[in-house]
Amino acid sequence: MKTTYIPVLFSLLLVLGCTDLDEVLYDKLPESVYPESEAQIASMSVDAYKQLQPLADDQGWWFWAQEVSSDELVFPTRDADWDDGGKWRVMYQHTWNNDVEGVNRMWDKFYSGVTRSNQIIDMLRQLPQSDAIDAKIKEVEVVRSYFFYLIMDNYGDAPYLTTATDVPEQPFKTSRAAIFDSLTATVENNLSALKDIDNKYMATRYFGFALLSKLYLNSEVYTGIAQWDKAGAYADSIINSGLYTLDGTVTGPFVTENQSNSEIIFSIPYDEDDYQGFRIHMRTLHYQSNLTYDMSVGPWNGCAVTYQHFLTYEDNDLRKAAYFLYGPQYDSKGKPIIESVIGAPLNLDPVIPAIRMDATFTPTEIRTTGARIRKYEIKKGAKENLSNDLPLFRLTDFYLIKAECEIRLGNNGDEWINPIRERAGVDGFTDATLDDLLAERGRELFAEGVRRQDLIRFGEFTKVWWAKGDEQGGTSNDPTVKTFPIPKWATDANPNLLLDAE
Amino acid sequence: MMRQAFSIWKAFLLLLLFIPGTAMAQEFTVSGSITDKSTGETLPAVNILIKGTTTGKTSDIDGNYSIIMNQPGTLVFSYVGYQSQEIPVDKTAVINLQLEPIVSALEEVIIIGYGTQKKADKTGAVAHITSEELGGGVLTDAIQGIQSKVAGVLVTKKGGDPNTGFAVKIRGAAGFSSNTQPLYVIDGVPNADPTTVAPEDIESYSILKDAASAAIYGSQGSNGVIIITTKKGLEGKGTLQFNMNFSADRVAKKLDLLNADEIRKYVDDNDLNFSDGGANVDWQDEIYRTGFTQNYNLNYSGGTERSSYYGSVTHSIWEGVMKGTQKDRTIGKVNLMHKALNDKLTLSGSISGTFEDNDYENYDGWDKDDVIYQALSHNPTDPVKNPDGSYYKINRAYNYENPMAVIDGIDNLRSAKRFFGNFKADMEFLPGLTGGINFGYTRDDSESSYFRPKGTIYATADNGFGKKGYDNLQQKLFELTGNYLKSFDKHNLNLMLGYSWQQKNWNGFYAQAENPQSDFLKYNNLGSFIDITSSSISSWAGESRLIGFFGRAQYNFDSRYYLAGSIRRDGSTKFGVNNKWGWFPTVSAGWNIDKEAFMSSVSVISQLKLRVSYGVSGNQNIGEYHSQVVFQPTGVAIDPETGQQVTTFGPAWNENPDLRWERTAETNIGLDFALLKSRISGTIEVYTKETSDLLGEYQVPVPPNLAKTKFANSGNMRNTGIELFIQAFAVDKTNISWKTSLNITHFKTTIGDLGEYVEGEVRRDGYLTGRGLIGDLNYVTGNIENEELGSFYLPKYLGLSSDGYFLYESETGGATRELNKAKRYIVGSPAPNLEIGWSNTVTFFKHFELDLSLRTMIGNDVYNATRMFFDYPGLLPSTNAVPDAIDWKNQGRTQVPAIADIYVEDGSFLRIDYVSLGYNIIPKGKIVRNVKVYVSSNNLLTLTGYSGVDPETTVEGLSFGIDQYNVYPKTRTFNFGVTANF
Repeated sequence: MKTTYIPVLFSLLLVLGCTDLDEVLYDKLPESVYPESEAQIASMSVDAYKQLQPLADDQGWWFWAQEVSSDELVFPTRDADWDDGGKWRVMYQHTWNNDVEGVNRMWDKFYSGVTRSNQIIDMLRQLPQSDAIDAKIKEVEVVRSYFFYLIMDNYGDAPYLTTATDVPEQPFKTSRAAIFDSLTATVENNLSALKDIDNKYMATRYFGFALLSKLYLNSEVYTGIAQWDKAGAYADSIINSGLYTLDGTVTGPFVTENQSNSEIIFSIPYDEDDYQGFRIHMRTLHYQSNLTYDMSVGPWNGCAVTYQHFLTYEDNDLRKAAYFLYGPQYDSKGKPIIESVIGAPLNLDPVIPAIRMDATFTPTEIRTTGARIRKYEIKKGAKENLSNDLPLFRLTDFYLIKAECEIRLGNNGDEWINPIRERAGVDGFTDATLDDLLAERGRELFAEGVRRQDLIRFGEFTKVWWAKGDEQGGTSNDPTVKTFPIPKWATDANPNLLLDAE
Repeated sequence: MMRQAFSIWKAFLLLLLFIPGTAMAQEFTVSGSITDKSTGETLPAVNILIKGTTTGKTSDIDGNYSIIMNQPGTLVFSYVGYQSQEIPVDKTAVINLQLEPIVSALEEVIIIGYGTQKKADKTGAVAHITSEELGGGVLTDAIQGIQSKVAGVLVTKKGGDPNTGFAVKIRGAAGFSSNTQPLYVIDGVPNADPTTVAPEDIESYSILKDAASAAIYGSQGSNGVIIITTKKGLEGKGTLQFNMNFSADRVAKKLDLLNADEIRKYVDDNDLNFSDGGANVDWQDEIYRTGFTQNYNLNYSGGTERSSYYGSVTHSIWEGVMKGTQKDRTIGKVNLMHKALNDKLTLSGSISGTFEDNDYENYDGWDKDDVIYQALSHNPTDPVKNPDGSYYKINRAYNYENPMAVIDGIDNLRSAKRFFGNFKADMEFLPGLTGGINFGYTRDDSESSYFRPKGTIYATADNGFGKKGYDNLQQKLFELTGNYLKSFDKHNLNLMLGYSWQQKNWNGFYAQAENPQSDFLKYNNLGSFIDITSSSISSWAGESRLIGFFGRAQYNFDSRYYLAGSIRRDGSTKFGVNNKWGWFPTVSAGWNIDKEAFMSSVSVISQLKLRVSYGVSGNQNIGEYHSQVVFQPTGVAIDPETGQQVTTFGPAWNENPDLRWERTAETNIGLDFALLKSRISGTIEVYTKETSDLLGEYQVPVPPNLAKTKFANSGNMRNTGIELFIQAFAVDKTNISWKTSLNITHFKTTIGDLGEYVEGEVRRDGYLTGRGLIGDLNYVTGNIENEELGSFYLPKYLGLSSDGYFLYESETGGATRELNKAKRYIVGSPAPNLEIGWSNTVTFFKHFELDLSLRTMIGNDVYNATRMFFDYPGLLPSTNAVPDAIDWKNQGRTQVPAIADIYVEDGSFLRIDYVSLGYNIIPKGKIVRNVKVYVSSNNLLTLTGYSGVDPETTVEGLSFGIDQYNVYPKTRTFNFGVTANF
């Protein structure tokens, strides 16, 4: 009798379900539950825009890649600082390879944007279809197109994917020209479904016009065939829409509270606490500049505008003083700042002696040279991240694009350049040439992520300039630098990327 | 009375007459013969000592003895392998003795999974250590006690941080992503934490090394099992024991860096610009100190025929050698056991509570508050303080901070309360048939606090930070077991069946904020902080369960031939829907050769046993929920349509319904031997094991997958090894005895197949990060098919280019500067070829005991990443560097820190783990039974050719053997302690 205790107990256990192995989730949502509500469905597309967040700093590298590879901005190595294994120097001197941080991360984040957009489109297609859902799908397709525009602009040929399911694990590249055609077709097709409003965080119809204008503007670079007329026409659509007007000042679009600025068509909505990722001020300001702005953190004393670019501004150009921080520095109460290592008042000198300054240079040269960038307002009490939105498309850019297209088509572009020049307090051009236009773009659109693209379009990117290709080292006239190589980590995972595009 | 008086007078007279002489009139002779109690044979050379003196004799070849005594006393008869006897004598007499042989070590009972076994009967690879064998030296950790004591068990600790524990690797356990620590079972409760057990409370360790022994724990057993049993109390009147010890720790070795004058000379020699801080500071001396440790333990145990008890309180305070690090711990423990119902029912229970307070410093990386990095790179010309007493701060470079300001100004604390409870009931239903029920419960609650005041610690402006967090972990255990023993004729059978259910629940919470408005309030009033963002609060929770059914059968014939088998069916919530359950069988056999008739004439051999075992065990030590797709918040974004903030969700990882346990199949052959009546005994084991279906986290392409990572089973590894253990009572005389034991281990782990998720034949691991390294190719370990696990896979350094960059040998045979074009090769392996541990216990002059334990590792290579980061001449003169940097500068180097084969060094070492000298006092009174006083030293000496601080790195994971500066220094300890039994 007693021996039956044990088998009875065991069968009791089985009956009682003490073999239950179902996982219970507490702090994550199981696939069966998500999306839980209408609100979560509506917010699905927001994640596509969120993929733009890392692009302004070193997580995504896009902003810095466009600026540092150009002639307008440099990160000199200041003794032990900013060497970082040369990751900034190789970008400036065009000596990168396929395993540099900038090259590695841009590809990663661009394709994160593409993939997330495709996943969202796929999920939206699973839901019961309606006009609203259809409009959402088209909106996300245009966001995806923006990511592909960045991919194509920076890397050239690349895989073109329009869905996230049933895709080969190792896709092949599509040619740059074919991607260009797909993008223009997609955006043009979706224009009518995009909202006809001024919303700076959404892919509105004007975002569509802006993207198309940029695409056609660079069509000669992407496909070999110039399409200036279309670029100009789309720029017109924005200018003549009446929704946007030029700001009366040179600083308006870049202040901390620029979310309602009349010029901005589309921007990334950074916030110092809740949407971090824009911290140009940390990378450019001197270690002690926090005293000037009552900042709660100490900056890192890095990048500066190149002296050659600094010289392109006339002395009375309002932008010179507005965009750059140079000369004697004072704290927020007006007292001069004493440089802690040099022991003398801090004076930022726009002339940079060399791109790599080791201890054979004086501390003054190492620590205080280069005019710093304050185009994006640094508010009093700024923290490590800025709250200024980063404009990706603004009206002024399209004025200059319109001017450029007119000049290239043999017409006069002055009526679109001169408002910009007058606002900046300098005289307008008469019969502006392409060189004038490129220089004006350089002055006006400094530190807005467009310089690299502009230099390539004008055929200037491979020329020699300070510390690149001259006696300080670097390469020049190597046409392959006009696109970045596909990173090694990507080609290792997918060898098909090494084959020529289909 | 009269006789007594007469004796006294006699003694007095004799004393007067023969002052220095012998008291011949009092003299008497004791004589007799001495035989072996079990065999009746006479015993020659038996030691006979007059207690309390050094006078003694030995018995002659026929076993006869005769000893002359001057006064009444006690004769102590001792002979190796036999129990000593003490006989008081006061007059001439013939006393014949029968000495009993000591129960041989093989009769000892060892603890295996879910049961006990006589050592003689074991068929698997099980090592057993009792508390007496742990020897001297100070133990801060229950695991430290077995370091270098067991062949095949590698116990390592990186540095000497009192707040971190030891890493244990049994038989080279390895996996891709899974945890490779063994399973700890404390008083029958699996998954308990060994740091909650005071070393003084431990009775024994049983280490189950091979799959056949460990598989009874099923999917938890593949890394080996360490069973810790605490003291239960013995029958007898209560014994009170008091232990106390004090130690002083000092840093064993500092890193050799430049000093202030050497930097000044460098500046002069190279005509550089440098702003001199004016001081001469050794920053390592600044952040280190002599750490004092105190440890107190009071325990009381005893028992009657039917019950026993053991209670103890332990309190320890460890001051780390790095300023700002400390651990305080108090453990209270009660073990009770009671027999009832005619001794048929045994009830036992154990409760313990541990209270810990930890004070931490960060030293893991190269951030502003990583104290070791800041001290190593800080300029020696910068003074510690300003003349006014505040900390000297200067912004020489990015993240350049005064480590003393960090240590003094930042609070980083944790307080933990841990509870352990266990209750068991075993009932004998019928003769030979017992059943048992076992409940276990553990709970860990910890609270952590962190505060950095605003703007006063760092050289640059800083917003301050405060954080408070709570973590809670509970584990519940319920087990049922049944046992049946039957013997008939010469057949012996032991059957066991069992069921086990375990559940783990955890949850946690933290709140953090920046911009504190009061330094006084610290983290105690986070509401007073200004900057609170959406990422400032967090909470989490999770659960997992493990269920098993198991059975075991052990059979032996005449204690000569053994056969055993077990099987366990385990299920875990972590596995995929298709594979929740798994089978883990084992079979083993043994042959007691010495019991055979043909061996009876070979008297030299007292035991010779051959055993073979084969078993399959599993590993499920990978996080939870990885088999299904789950969505988690990815951050806050602004919804363009509404302009409002929303939380976006994204998939955490891909699903894998096939996710299953990692499987280890092991074959073990062992030979146990004992010679000369167990004077020499030992074990030789040879094993080979294959771990397949390795659990790992892999990056997968997106698309077509939903998320970037996937947890999957893929790949296999092979591990083979030889273990040798010998123990000998080398000298066993009256006045002096010497017990020595040696264990030698050799193992090799080879990668078999890397699996489908790894492209090519090389899996890259050991990625280094630090100042100056760029790109994604800074890995030093290559796990390559058919090569040893953890091999260093590096490019060959050829020399410097004309402008000072490193040149590597390229794929085409030429030279290249670019790491992505360099050809890599296997430079060495961080796993040791041989590990030898040698322990000795010597007792002499009756009262003294000397323990000496040495350990050596041979053939382990180390990648000296500290030298790699600190030999770059560009660091000078603003930040500090190793002296090599000056040589590099003279060679013209401009290369920033880069991976190369020149940084691999041989880390073989010989270390004196501990030396201890103890003195036993046996006081005359009745209250204090005995007192032991000892002095000892841990890590007294290390002999090695390695140029860095410590050649010993934790042997764990897929990449190891990398010495990067972020290691708490190893210490040399001197201790003094007292143990008293009342």
